[in-house]
Amino acid sequence: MLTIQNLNITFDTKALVTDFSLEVADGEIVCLRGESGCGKTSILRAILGFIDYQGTISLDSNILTPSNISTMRQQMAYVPQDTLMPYDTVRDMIQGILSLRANTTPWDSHSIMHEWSYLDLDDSLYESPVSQLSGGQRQRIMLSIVALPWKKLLLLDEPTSALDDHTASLVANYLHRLAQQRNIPILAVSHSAHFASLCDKEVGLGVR
Amino acid sequence: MTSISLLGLALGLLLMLIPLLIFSRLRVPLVHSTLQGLIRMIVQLYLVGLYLQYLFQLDRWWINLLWALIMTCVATGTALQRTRLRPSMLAVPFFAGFLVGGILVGFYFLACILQLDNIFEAQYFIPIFGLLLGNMLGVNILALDTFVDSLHRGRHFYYCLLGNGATTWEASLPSLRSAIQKAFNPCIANMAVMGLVSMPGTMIGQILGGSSPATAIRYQMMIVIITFVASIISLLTTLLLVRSRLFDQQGRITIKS
Repeated sequence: MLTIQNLNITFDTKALVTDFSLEVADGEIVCLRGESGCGKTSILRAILGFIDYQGTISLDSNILTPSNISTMRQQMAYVPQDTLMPYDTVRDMIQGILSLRANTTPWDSHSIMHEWSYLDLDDSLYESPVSQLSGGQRQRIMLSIVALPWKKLLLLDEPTSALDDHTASLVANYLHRLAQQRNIPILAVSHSAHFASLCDKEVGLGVR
Repeated sequence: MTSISLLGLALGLLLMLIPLLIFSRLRVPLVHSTLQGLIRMIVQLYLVGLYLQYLFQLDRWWINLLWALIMTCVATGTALQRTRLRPSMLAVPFFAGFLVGGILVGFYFLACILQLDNIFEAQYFIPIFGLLLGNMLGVNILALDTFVDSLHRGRHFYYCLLGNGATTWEASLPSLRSAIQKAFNPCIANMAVMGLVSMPGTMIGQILGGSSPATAIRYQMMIVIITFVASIISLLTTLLLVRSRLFDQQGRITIKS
């Protein structure tokens, strides 16, 4: 379970997030929804330890601290908003990310392609140059890569921003499958009302 | 070896009139800096020549070692001026990198390859250490600047890897790779055309000094190899030491571009 208590994030003396609390239960998908600049991405970045914050964030019973965040991140999977990666081919991208020491789950091209079958991705993309992929393909490929190792938390930043409603629904179904199968919390941030409606819970954030 | 007389030297310097005239006629704004560089070179080389002559006569191991340390300090100062990072952050890593690369490879060359009885012999120790320093300096500056630039340009990628459990080492490895590649590509290209396109300085010096081409070639090969190896050892030492200053405890990039 992911627990956020009384989270405060300030940026250049401006309060970006104030007293924000949230619980994402195991097997649950929560979508933080709000306009640009409301601080939803900052919440993800705080969980990942990329920015300073006040408050308490814990994963299962472990409170995230500056001293343990590097270890705790090994149990997290993260899909960033910008998925244009400096790899030549999709194969390189998969190898580059899955060869991290934190990813201990065995994998091969078939296991990746198995995930792709849920995301409407063609097997021929495996050898494709990354530069030739559409934004939507990159988002789904990135998701399939980081979701392959069994982690305890999945964080997604605008996972469907380049997708039409139909494909966004496929992604949501895929996420539900992951959440159920692995019994892990999934937290996504999105400005899409359609995607938010497909998640278990939607939490609105206002612009400050 | 035929030495160059003062008249010969003056005639040689006259050649510089050609580029100066070209710069002047084409209004290329390089006349002033060329003259400045030329004068600096003449004064510096004369001063160093006098000093080295004195140093070679004395030939005490501790004086030679002290001179090597002074050279390392000067190289560190030069490197600090040419990088865009905070000098306080880099002084120790640069100094240590130059010293480790220079000492390890320099001593290996003098003790194992040349098999000198006295590895501190001024005639060998000082030119070799200077040669290594010159190469390490260029590689370190280029590689470090590229590394930091690459980290900044690809920071979203760095944080993506970090967010998926990468260590700072793993997440910064793509930037490190591109830095090493950029810094060593010219060395490798130069090595590949040596003797065909470029006639290397050490070899020419040896031949002009009366050595046989066979001896000159061996020296040249060894010089290329030791400068290459010293550069990579020095660069990795510098990067390992500077790494803790580039990232904080949570792995975040702490330097500004």
